Amino acid sequence: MKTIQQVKTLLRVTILGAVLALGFSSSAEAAWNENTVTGGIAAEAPSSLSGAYDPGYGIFWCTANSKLYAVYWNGSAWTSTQWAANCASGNFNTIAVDNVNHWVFYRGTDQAIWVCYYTGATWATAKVGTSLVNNPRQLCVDSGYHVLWYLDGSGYLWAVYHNGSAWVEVLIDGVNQRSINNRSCGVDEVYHFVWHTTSTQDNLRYSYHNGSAWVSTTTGTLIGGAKYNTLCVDGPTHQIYCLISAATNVPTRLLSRYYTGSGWAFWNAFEDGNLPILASPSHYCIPSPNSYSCILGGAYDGAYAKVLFTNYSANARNWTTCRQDNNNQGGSTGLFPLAAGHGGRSVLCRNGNGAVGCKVLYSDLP
Amino acid sequence: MKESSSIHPLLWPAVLAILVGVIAAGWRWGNLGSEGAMPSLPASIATPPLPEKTTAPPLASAAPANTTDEDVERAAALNATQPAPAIASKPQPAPMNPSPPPFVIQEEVRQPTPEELAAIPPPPEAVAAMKAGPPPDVLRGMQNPPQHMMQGTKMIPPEFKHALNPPGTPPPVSTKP
Repeated sequence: MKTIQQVKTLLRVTILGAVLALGFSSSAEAAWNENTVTGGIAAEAPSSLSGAYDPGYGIFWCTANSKLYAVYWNGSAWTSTQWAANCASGNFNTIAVDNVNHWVFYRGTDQAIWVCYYTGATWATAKVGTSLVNNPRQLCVDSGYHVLWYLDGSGYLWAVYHNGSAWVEVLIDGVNQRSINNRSCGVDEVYHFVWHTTSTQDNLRYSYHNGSAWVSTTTGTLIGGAKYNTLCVDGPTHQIYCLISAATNVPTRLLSRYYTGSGWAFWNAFEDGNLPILASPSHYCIPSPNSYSCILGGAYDGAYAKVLFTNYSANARNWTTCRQDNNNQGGSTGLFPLAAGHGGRSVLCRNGNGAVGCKVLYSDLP
Repeated sequence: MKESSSIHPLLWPAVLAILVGVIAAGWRWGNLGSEGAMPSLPASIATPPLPEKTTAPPLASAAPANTTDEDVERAAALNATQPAPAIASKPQPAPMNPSPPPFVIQEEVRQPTPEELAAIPPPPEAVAAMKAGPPPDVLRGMQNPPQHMMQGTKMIPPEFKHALNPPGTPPPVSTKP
C-alpha cells in the first residue's frame, strides 16, 4: 500500500514539474504561409519597391509597367485588380493610403502626385499635386487630417491637402537634403507628427503644426557615420522604428526611438548581422498601425531579403524573422517584401530576379 | 511506524522536474520585457525635453520652416562587428579612431513594454498639437472635401467584401495595456 501511494505521489509531482517546465519555457510560435496572388498581377513583372495598405481594401502595388494594383482576399483566394495605369515604378515608398477616405495617393509617371478613389461605381484618378517639378519620392499620409506628406527630390518635406476649394502643395521643412533612395517618412496619426530624417541622414526629425505655425525639430543624432535609412511609426506605442546603417558591410540594425515621459530615448530592437545594409536598392520598413505587431521589410542587400515581425499580443515580444531569402534574388523563389497589412499579419512580396507575379505571406499568430 | 524525513529515491525525478520548472519560470520572468538576456532596468534614461522654437513661417507660406532645434545626444557608440550589442547605461562619446567605425548611439538598456509605452503621456509639443487641432486651411479641407472624391468613401466596393478577413487574421488586438 505504501509503495502504491509513493508511486501516485511520484506521478503527481512529476506531472506538476513537467507542466511547470513546459508552461514557462515555451512561447508562441507563428507559422507563416505563402500564397500566390491570382488575377492580373500574376502576369506583371516586378519593379516597384513601394506598397501601401488599406485595412478595408487591401495592399496596393505599382508594377514595372506602371499599373497600380489592389491585392486583396476575395473570400477564397488572394487576388488582384488593376486600378490605374500611370503610377511611377522603381521608386521607394511612392504609394500611400488615406485609410479613412480610402484614397490611394501615388507618384505618377509625370512625377506629380495623383490619387485614385472609388466613385461609388468605378475607380477614378485625379492629379492633386500642383507642382510637377518636385520629384516626390517618399509618401506618407495622416489619415485623420487627410494630409499627404512627401519628401521631394531634394529631400524637402511637403504637405498636400485639400483646403476646401483646391488642392495645395505646401513646403513645410526645407532644411533637409538627403540621398535619393535611403530616406522615408512616417506619421503618428495621434500626435499628428510627421517623422523624417535630415540631410546627412544622421538626424531624426519631426514636423507638426503647433496651432500657429508648422515647426520642425531634431530629436536624435547618430554618430560615427551611422545613418537613418528608413523609418516607420507604430501607432499604439508611438515608437519610431528606424533602420540604421553606417557603411557597406556594416550590419543594419533596427532601432526604436520613443518618448519616456521626459525625453526621447533609443533601444536596439534587432540585429543579427544579416539585415540589409546600405546597398542599392536599400531597404524600407512598413508600419502596421492599430496593432502592437509591426512588420519590417528588408529589401535586397546583395545577400538577403528579409521580413521581420514582432508579436506584442502573445507571450513572445522579440523581433524575429518570418522569411529570409539569400539567393540574391537569383531565382523566382526569392521574395521581396513590399507592404504589410492586417495588423502586420500579411505581407505582400514580389518575386525575385524579375519573375512575374507576387505572393502574400500571412501568419496565424495567436 | 514513523516515516523517514529523507527523500525517497523514487521521488528524485519529481524533485528534479520541479527544479526545472522553477528555473524555467525564473528564466521566463527575467526575459519579460527584455531583448535576449538583457537585464531589466528602469526605462527612464532619457534626455530632457527640448526647448521649442516656433519661428517657422505660417502654413500658407511656401518658404521652409527652418526651425532647427538640435539636441545632439551623446551616447555610446557600438562596434558594428560585435555580434551582440554592447549596451551602455550612460551616454559616452564616440571613439576617436574606431576601427571598424562606430555604429550607432545607444541609450536605453532594455526594451520597454508596449504597456509601458502606452502609459507614457504624450510629449508637451504633441499635447499642444492635439489641443490646437488641424491648421485652419487643413480644417477647411476636412469640412469641405472634394465632393466627387467623397461619394464612394462610405461604401465598400463589392470585390473588397472579404478583404477585412483574410485567412490567418486573428481577432482584433487590443491596444489597451
